[in-house]
Amino acid sequence: MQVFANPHRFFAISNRILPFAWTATALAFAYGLYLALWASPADYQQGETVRIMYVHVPSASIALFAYVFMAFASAMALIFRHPLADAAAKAAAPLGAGFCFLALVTGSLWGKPMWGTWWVWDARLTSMFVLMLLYLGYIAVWRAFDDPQRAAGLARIVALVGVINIPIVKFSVNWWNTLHQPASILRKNGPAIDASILWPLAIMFLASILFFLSTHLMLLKNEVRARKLRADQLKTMETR
Amino acid sequence: MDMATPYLGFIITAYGLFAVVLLGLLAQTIWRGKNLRRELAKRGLNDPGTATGTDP
Repeated sequence: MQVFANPHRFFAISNRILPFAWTATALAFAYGLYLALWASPADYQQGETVRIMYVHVPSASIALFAYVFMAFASAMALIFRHPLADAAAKAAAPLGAGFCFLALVTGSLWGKPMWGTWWVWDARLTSMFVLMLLYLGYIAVWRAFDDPQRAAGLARIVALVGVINIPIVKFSVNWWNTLHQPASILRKNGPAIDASILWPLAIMFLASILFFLSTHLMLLKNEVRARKLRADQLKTMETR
Repeated sequence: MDMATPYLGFIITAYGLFAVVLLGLLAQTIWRGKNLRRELAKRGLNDPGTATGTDP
């Protein structure tokens, strides 16, 4: 981990990785969208609306993953004082918020034809909405302070306290009666959905996670640039 | 996909929104990166990782 603490080494490694990461992302999305929109069959009960699942489920999974990543990076910043850990957490927030927004909206678009309603305040939907608020709160904390050190301190607390919501989102469908269906992929008895639907879902998930990782790397580079710029601005102010 | 499905609008909206949000995030990231690089260059600083020498 300390290897990446040097900005020059981090930039050199990420510059080498990014072209491959973006090529893999584009290929995965092309194949995933082909399977999701053309090659996969309609569901015997849901009909064509099942295709919304191929964007809804990856969005929700990555919204959860991004928050866990944020909390992990915040813990690394708190325990090991790794110079890039806070920046890594900060860079994950807009992506997580974007995917969380997509999960909520595409879920609503799927809910209307299937459940007959855009929204219900059941445990899964409400905990997902709370996750969106946590992302917005985290982003707001970074923007609220001029001093990045103070912002980082409070942002770490938000990220670490908010991670309690992740198991609530995941297990809400088991703990409470919800309109949202229970888990159908990560279950004790294996996935409850047919391979013809599972495969496009896996490819779309792969494409989305590659997108997250590639964009996150670019955002992290921007954070390093912003730090360098800020350090120079402070130096200029001190010499005046 | 059966284009005659009565829910085609829901499917198109979901995929359209997915594309708009992801491309928006990517465009914003590229744009911010460009601005930061320009700002660094204006101050005579090298972009980290691309420097061949030391900053003034």
